[in-house]
Amino acid sequence: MFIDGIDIAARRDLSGFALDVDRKIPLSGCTAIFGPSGAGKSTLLRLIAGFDRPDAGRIAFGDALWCDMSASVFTPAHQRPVGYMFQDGRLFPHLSVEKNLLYADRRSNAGDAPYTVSDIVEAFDLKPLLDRRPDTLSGGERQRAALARTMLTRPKLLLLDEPLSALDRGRKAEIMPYLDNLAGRFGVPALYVSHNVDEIVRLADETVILKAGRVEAVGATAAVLNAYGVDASTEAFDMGAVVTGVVADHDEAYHLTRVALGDGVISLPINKQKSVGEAVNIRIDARNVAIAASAPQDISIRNVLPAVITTMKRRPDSPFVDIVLRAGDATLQAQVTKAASDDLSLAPGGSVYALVKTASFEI
Amino acid sequence: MTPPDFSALWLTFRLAFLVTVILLVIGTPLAWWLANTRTRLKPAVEAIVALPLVLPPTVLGFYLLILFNPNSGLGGFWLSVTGDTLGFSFAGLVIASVIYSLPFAVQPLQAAFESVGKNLMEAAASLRAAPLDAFFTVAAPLSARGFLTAAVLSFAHTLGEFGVVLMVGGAIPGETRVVSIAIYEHVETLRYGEAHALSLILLAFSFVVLMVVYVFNRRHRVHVH
Repeated sequence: MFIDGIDIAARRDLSGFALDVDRKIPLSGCTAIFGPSGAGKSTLLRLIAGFDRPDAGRIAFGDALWCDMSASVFTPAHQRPVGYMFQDGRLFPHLSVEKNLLYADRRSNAGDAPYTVSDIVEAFDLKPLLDRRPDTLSGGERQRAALARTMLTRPKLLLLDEPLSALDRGRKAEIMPYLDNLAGRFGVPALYVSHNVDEIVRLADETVILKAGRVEAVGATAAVLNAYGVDASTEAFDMGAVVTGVVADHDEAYHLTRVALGDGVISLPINKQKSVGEAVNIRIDARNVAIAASAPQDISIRNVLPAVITTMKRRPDSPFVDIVLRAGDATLQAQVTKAASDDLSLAPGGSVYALVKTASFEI
Repeated sequence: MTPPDFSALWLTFRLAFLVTVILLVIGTPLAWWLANTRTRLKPAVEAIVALPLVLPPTVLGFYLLILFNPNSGLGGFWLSVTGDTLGFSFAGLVIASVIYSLPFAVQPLQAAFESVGKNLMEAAASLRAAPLDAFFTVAAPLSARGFLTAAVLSFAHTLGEFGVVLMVGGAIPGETRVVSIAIYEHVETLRYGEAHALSLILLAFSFVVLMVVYVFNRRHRVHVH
C-alpha cells in the first residue's frame, strides 16, 4: 500500500499555547517540519509517534487510524510502525552498540524492509563501534548508532527529532552524509524536525512550516522557505534565498561540484553524495550576492548568473535595498547599498548579473 | 550452641528469605507505580508505605494483633481458609514482617526506577517493546543496584526485627522464636555465652552482606543520565 501522507487533525494544549494542526502532511522522501524553538514541532512528532495523546482530534496513516480521541481509539507507541530518532540518541546505556541494534532488530519483522543488520552496520560504518558501550561514544558516533538502531525497527515512517541539534558543527558535517537521502536509500518516508535552515535545505524535499502551534505553509522546500523568508524579513528567518539546481559535474582537480542554475552555473565545495543529474537545494544568503550592471571581467567570484530584477524594497532608516532577482526559474535575493543601487540605476525589470561568492554555498 | 538456638537461626533465615521474596514481588509493581504515577494520591500512598519507618514496632504490632484476631476480617478469613489462626504463627510473622519491612524494599526500588526515567522507556517503546518487555529489558537491568539494595535491606531488617515479633508472634520454638527473641531471652536469664554466640553470628553475617553489596556497587556502576 502506498501512503502519500499522514492525516492529522489534532489539538494539544501546552503551557502558553496550543498545538492545533488540521492538515495532511505529505510523505514523499523527506519532509521537514520547520519553525522556531517552541513552535510545537517536537510535540507534533510525539503525537504522531504515540508518546503523547492529543487533547482532541485524530491521526491516520493511510488506512490505519492511530488515534481518534472522540472514539477512544489510541494505538500505543510500540504498536505503531514508526521509527523515532531522538535528539539525544537515547541508546540503552547497559547494552553495547551491537546489542542496541539487535534490540530493535529482534522486535521488528525482517520481511518489512529489504535490509539486514549487516547491511545497516555497513551503511552507517558501525563495524568498529559494535562492542563499544554508549557512554564511550562521541556525540556523532552516538547519533549514527541511534539512527542505525531506528532503521532496524524497519519503520513505514521515520520520525527524526532534531537529530543534529545536540552536535557541534564538525560533528554535524560528520553525520550529515548518513542522513542524506535516507528516504531514497532505504525506501521509507521521513519527517525531519529542525529549526536549522541549512539542514532542511540539504535534506528535505518538502517542508511544513510550523509557527506558534499552527501550520503556516506546506510545499516544496525551496518555494516554501522563499515565500516565508521574503514576507517575514522581520522574523528570525532572514535566510536569503533557496534555489534548486541540477548537479552538472564534479571537478576533482579543483574540489568543486558545479550546479546548473537557469542560464548560469555555480560552483560549490565538492560533495559527491550528490550524483550528476540530481536536483539539489542551495541556500544563498542575500548578503553574499552582489550585483553588476554588465558582465564582470577579471574577478575572483566564479558564480556569475544572468538575472532580471523583479522587485526592489528600500529599507527605511537603513543604507540597504532588498532586491529580488530571477535567474531562470530560480529566485535570488541580494542586499546592496542604496548608494550602489542608485549609481548603477538599478530598477525592476532591468537585466543584471548576480555575483555569488563560492563560500556562501556551504551547507 | 543449643538445638533450640539452631532452630531459632534457621527460622529467622527462613522468615527473612521468604519476606524478601514476597517484598520484591509486591514491592516492584508498587514502586513502579509510585515512580510513574501522576495521581494526587501519590503522597498519601508514599506516606503509608513509609509509616513503619517512624511508627514504634509495638504500635504496629498492636494493630496487627487486632487484625489477626479470628473475630476480625483478615483473621477470620485466614482461619476459614487454612484452619489456623494468624496470631502467634509463622504465617502471621511473615505478614507482619512484610508490612514492617515494606519501605525498605519500595523506597530503593522507586528511586532506581525514577532514575531510569521516562526517556529510555520511550526509546524502548519506539523500538516496539511492549511495556512489560521494556520493563524487563531496560528498566530492570538499569535498576540492578536498586533491586540489590532493596533485597539486602529487606532481608537485614527482617533479620533484626524484635518488637513486632514480640507483639504478634511471641516466642514459640520453631514457629515464632526468632534469633532476636532468643538473644533477649538469654540476656534475661543471664546466659551471656549463648547471647554472645547468636549476636556474633548476626553481626558477622550483616557485615559480610553489606560488604558484598558495596563491592558489587563499585564494580557495576551503571551510568544513567
